[in-house]
Amino acid sequence: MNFKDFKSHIEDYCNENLPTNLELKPSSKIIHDTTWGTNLYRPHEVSIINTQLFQRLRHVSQMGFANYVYPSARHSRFEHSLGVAILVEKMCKHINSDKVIITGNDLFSLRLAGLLHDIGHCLFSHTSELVYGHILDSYITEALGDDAPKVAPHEFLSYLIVTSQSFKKYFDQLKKRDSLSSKIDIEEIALMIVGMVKDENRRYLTSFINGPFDADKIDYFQRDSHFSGLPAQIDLDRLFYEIQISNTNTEDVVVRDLTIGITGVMSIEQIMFNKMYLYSSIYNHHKIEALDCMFKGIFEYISESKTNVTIFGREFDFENPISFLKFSEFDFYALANLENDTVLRRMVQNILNRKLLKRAVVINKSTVSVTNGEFLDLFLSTGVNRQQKSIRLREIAKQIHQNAGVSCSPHEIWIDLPKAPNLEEGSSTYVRINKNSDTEIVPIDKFFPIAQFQDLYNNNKRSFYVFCPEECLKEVAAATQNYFQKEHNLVFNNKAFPYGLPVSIKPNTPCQHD
Amino acid sequence: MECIIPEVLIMSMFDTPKDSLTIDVSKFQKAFYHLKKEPEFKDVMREIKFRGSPASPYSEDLDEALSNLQYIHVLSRKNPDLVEYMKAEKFTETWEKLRNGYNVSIQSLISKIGEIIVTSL
Repeated sequence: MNFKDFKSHIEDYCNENLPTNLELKPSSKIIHDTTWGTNLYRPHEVSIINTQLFQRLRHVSQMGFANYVYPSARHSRFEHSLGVAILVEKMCKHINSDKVIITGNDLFSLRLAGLLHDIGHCLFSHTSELVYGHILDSYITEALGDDAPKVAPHEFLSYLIVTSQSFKKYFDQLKKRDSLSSKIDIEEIALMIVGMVKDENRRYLTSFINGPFDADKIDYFQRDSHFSGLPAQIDLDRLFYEIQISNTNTEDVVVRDLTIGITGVMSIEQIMFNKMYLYSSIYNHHKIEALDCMFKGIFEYISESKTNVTIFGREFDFENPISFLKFSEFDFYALANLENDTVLRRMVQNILNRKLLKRAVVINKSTVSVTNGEFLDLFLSTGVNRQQKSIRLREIAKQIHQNAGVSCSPHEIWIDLPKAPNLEEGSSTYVRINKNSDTEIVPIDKFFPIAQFQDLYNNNKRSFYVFCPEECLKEVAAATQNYFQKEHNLVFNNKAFPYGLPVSIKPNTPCQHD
Repeated sequence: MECIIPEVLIMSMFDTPKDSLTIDVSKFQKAFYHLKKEPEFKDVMREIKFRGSPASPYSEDLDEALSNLQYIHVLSRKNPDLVEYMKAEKFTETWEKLRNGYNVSIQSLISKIGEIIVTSL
């Protein structure tokens, strides 16, 4: 499908999910929230919250399958989006405490960007991005240009929704009804969501929504740690008091962006520490990784077997990313009741019943002897070649399935490479070193050992896994050991096999299995 | 033209008789950001994406690649401040293998990139 056709699908989707008439009695609303307390939403915001487009977010789990490990982590993108709108205003109020820097119209825009930033998230949030994300790559370049920044798949879908004609038309109606300023620019709001700007002089607005210490990140740290029951502390009051806007001159342009005062450095350190903590405890937890692989396996099965997925008469074509906006988590779980496809039914039931894939092999610095440079070729990638690598790893997993001679589906054997947390906060945050000057700024990595954080995480916490169903563990472990030793000269020690040593072979010796 | 993976771009900085380099992360990110804007390198670097402003660009791809190279013992860092990067035991073997995967004209661009980045740090 070309980008033009895809955009027209987005247009239809927005049209179907926006009301034709405005509410009869628009009013502001007070909404209570566990994380940020009791807050007021203005009539135009309520009219956006009330659309089907936004209400859908109630059923998009914020943390994917994390509730299978942290049972109370059942919050959704809905309350997170409400939270970001509130938090961005709190940040601005601190900046405006001495004099008004963020104008009323900018504040309105920021709150709207906060509300809308995740409107493109699909079922199970980042988990579904693993399935549809790569399809959007060429569209992103076409829409945003060769110099487009790194844009997450859901951010791009949010951008397309907000810039659709249907949404603009709806928003124009709201502007008129509530006498909002014509200066509120929906295009600028959409650019904030994808981390872009019309004018570098106004970069700070984007940084509130999409920057190293933005309202989105702070909300999800607080909310995710609260609902998962893992205490994470950030001194937000200190952080907010220390945020200011500074001028940074580059060769050809003046950038006005957010900077942090020297006594706020500790708060950034807390953000980075918490990020590592949440990654190792939640986002990269091996059971959550296993669930993500099970999810990918289901869609791989649907694609390769050319299964028609029809739920209550609605047919889904998963080659088109728009289907992931329409296919809800309810629809996904409804697949467990399909009558005509026992394989698909069983795979979804395994998730519902928490019959998870298990780790046949754990691959990390303490379980493998790297005998040549193949480790980079196989396991390590960046955004530049991740898709290409994942195709190669699927081929290897299918080869392992064949060599193991097991009866499970090949879509249930996965080589999983969790992504390590990035250190954006440490590389792109600037600190004002002189309390009385906005212009004396230095990068934050001069103040604390970001490099050590990264080293410690990589050395002690970064692992790759080979997952399979419980009943095939030893055969898959043996086939994996064999494959990697024969093809790539990688040798595993006993610690690589958490559920016991592979069948018929002794550790660290060539396997006779195949 | 084939895109160069960021691990190779970083390793090119070490393809000199010198065994170590001091890498200031912000300068390192900025140097690659500016290089990508040069017409000569734009195409081979097109997949390396940056976020943030021109004053503080950040590429997750470069960050990840730097980390990958340490994970597989191609580069290592020196205490106490960990900003000095050195070639490690797998450097030569990995460098030759990865660089030889590109054609001669790209190999020459890789060398140029390494030289330019080193002088910008």
